[in-house]
Amino acid sequence: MIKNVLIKMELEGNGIVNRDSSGQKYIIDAFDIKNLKGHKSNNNVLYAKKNFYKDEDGNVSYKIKISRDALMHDIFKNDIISQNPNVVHHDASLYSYIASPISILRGYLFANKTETIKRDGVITLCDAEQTDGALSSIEVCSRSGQKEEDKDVVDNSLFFKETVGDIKYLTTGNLDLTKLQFITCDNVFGRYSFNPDKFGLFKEFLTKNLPNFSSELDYYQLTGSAIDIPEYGVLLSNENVIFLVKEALKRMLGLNIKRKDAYARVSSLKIKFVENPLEDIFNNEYGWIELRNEQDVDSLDFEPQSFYNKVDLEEAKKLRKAIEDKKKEVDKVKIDDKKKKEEQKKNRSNKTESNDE
Amino acid sequence: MMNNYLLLKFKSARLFRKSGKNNKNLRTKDFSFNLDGSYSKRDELPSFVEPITVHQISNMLYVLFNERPVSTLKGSLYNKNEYLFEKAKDSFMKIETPKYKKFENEDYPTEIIQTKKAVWNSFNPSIVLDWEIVRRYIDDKDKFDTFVSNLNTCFKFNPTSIPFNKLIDLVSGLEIEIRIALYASIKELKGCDGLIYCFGRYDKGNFAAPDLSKLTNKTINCSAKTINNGIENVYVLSGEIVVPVSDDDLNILKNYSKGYANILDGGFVWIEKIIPSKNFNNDEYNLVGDISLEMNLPAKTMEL
Repeated sequence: MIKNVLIKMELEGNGIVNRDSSGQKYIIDAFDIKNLKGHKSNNNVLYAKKNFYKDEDGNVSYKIKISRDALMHDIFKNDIISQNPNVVHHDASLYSYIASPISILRGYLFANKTETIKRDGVITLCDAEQTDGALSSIEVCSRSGQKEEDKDVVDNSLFFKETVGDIKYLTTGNLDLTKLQFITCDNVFGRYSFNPDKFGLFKEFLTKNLPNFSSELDYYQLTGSAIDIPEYGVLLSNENVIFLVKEALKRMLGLNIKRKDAYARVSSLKIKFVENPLEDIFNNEYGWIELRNEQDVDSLDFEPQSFYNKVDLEEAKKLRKAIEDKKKEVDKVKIDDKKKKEEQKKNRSNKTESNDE
Repeated sequence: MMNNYLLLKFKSARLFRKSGKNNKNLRTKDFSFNLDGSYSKRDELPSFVEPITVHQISNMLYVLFNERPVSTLKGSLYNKNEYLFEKAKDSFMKIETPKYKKFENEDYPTEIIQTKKAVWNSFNPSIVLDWEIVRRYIDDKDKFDTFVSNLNTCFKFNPTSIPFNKLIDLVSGLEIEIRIALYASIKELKGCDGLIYCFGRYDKGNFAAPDLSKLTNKTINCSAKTINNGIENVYVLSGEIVVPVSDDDLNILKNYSKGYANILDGGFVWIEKIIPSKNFNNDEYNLVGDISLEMNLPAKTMEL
């Protein structure tokens, strides 16, 4: 039974694909990084994103990196260009989006006036960090500007840019099967992913997007948890979970970040199925599976562990009673607070009016 | 009895927090999402001075041990696991990200990231109108045709042949009577008053400046123009956490844990190895129980 999927992804590329703000110049000068410092007075410097490290003698070095956001953006670039808050204004557009494999894998957050729906992403990736000795340097570049009419002046400008040649990166992460297999619509644990009253609509889109989807809303208890509160939601079948894991891995294989003067693409993708979390760790070289193409992903065969047990409705009601009473208390306090604030506001405005008179 | 220590490593842990002088948070556009499904402004919440405290570490441990995390600031409907909370206090931590000298103080390096906009009313303040937005705003073919025909009567040419933005300038140059008549014709269309604001509303003998937002701040008819993303400075931290564990704890981890957890925003925490107690030297680490729980004041004090 598989509890988790560890990911080790190597990337190779040329040039800088992920830039930081020019504010990095102060950090570089403070750390006294010889090959990059000296641009404190220049505002037009483009730096690479990097991690800084201090050795025992107090010397600071750095490693160029590609942020997790850049990696995730590229992994899903063919599915979604950007998350747009406009989708919340129509139920069909919102539920077709949140019931897509991309949203189930990547997570989402949409806040409306009265209802906020959110789901944690299933994929965790660290920033991809440089693994070779490639040394970056600052280059002077120029940018063509407009020529002013009737004047012998051209608005060309010089700027500085951190560049590097061939470079290799490594990122590690995981695919969380616990998060993946359960879509909750319960606010008790603060993970309200959809409105249970709109489950019909949600299910319609899930049926279209997932193979043989037939799950129904029910109460589920997290196995081994000391908190005895069942959570209302949808448990995906093993077939659906395996489908989604493979979808995620296929997208990772296609990671290829392109810029006009740089690129970074996957050179090696390895995964490890975690059965025993104390032994199946990154440090242990045993058990890694290299995925070279989509056929390798399709041929993966595993059985995910189910982290949730179905709870009978009567039993669920009994177990949830205490927490639902507490929720009512919280809501009551909130309503009282609101009333109190409104009253105080009213008193204040009355006071101001009488002062004016 | 704690025979062993569990060495956990964390990386890419982000902290969205800016504090200014006098231990007060700086203003932010971030939101916090509440138990009842509503959201409130982050500016109304305090934050810890230290980037990682026993609360963040205990929440990480809850997830590692397949328990539920417990919100520290927003409150929670269930109680925290006291055993794991005490374990978090007895743990050791070191942040490996070096600090640099910033003015008189030392601070962790920040980096700039792109953030997503999730709030329904993230309306774009910089608006350029076009005929397609106007058509979507009116959302009725007959009404749109009437509107265009009325403009045609005013200007004696097809108004759709010029950009809508240019038309706003032309309307402002119309004679007062013609302009007021145009506004009256728009009013007759019913439900399209935003166009009057767009051309500059007539009030008490004066024309107001054009307010283009009436067309794009409307959430119906798909004419809303929203911002997809913003930018934010974040700390990105990495380091180690060493947790004392008994044989029973290891058994729980073996049977129920996934072997990983998160810390702060998206920080990846994984099990590096198990260290026998006698081999662990805590010289380079801070005891988590000793980390200060001092808090910065909220950026905006709530009115009471």
